[in-house]
Amino acid sequence: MSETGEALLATRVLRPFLRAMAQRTAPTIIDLGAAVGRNLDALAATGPCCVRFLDLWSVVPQPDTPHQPAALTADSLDQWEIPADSVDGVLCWDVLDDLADGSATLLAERLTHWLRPEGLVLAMFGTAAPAMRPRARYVIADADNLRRDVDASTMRWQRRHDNRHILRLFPRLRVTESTVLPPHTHEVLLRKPSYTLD
Amino acid sequence: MWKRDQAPRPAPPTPSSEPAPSPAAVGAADTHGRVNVERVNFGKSVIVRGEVTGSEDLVIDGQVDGTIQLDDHVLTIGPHGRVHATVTAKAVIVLGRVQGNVTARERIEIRQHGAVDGDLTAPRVAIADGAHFRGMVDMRTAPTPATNGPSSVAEPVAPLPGGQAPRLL
Repeated sequence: MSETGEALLATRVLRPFLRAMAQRTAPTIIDLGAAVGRNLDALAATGPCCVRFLDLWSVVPQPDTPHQPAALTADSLDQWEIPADSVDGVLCWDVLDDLADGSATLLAERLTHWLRPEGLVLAMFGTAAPAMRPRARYVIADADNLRRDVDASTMRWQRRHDNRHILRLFPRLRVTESTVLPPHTHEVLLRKPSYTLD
Repeated sequence: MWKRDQAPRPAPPTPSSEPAPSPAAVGAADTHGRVNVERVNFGKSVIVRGEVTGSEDLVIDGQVDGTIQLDDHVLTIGPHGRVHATVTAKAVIVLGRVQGNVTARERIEIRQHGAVDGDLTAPRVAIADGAHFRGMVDMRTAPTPATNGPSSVAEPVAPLPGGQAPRLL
């Protein structure tokens, strides 16, 4: 990865996420980014756990033009055979911002399906106007800070989700933390309730 | 099938006057930093298809397709090593490429430029910056009594030496 810049971002949702994982017995955690050693170290520091790195961008076809959001198919998600209600936590980072509407919904549904009751999703959404931006990877610096490494060679169309869109993506989850932090980041922690409203 | 008894004789110990180690020995890191005299090297030109078992530490800088089982010893995949195998060892250090699942009783390290496509199972796993990994990391196994790992689920795992993860919570 040819890193062309990095920045330290404050986070308010990572600490509760890690604390929740530490309170579980041998949790299963999904990281929707490329494998990052420091993130693995941070998760391991909470106790014995199982971490699945599902690098979404390795299975998503590149859009025809750079100004199109990436499109995901159910087939590409089916290659990961993950049982329902088996995942304790998901580090979703900002991948939903890079996906087309239907694809973001598809991924959110699949994450909800995999999540066990009381499981958590940590997700981040850009609050800036939609634009071409370099893709980023997030590295856990400590429980309150992330390092955001950007790679200018992977420019993609990043959309904007407002609060209503986020709730619509995860209708079966409840927001437990929601913070807007500079610069232009809305981070949320969502929990799958142990009961269903249906 | 490749057994220890049929393995090529390891190269004689390098005399201390030798100016530099062979390329295969450069990557022969030991997890405890000790000098390891009982070690077999598979050089760059060695190709093995089948089962590799042994009772010595092993450095692979060639190619192995099949299975590797070194229950009580350290396996190092050198920078030129290409392994397409199911691997079981006490500890595994990857500087080359591995395709297949890797299980270690103590620890697995993927060093810079090392690459693993497969699932890792060990009480401790370290992935260096610049390494490639795709798969699952299962650190739920209890470490062996000889290691200083956690004895219960609630106790956090100590960071690896050289790892930069502080105690977060």
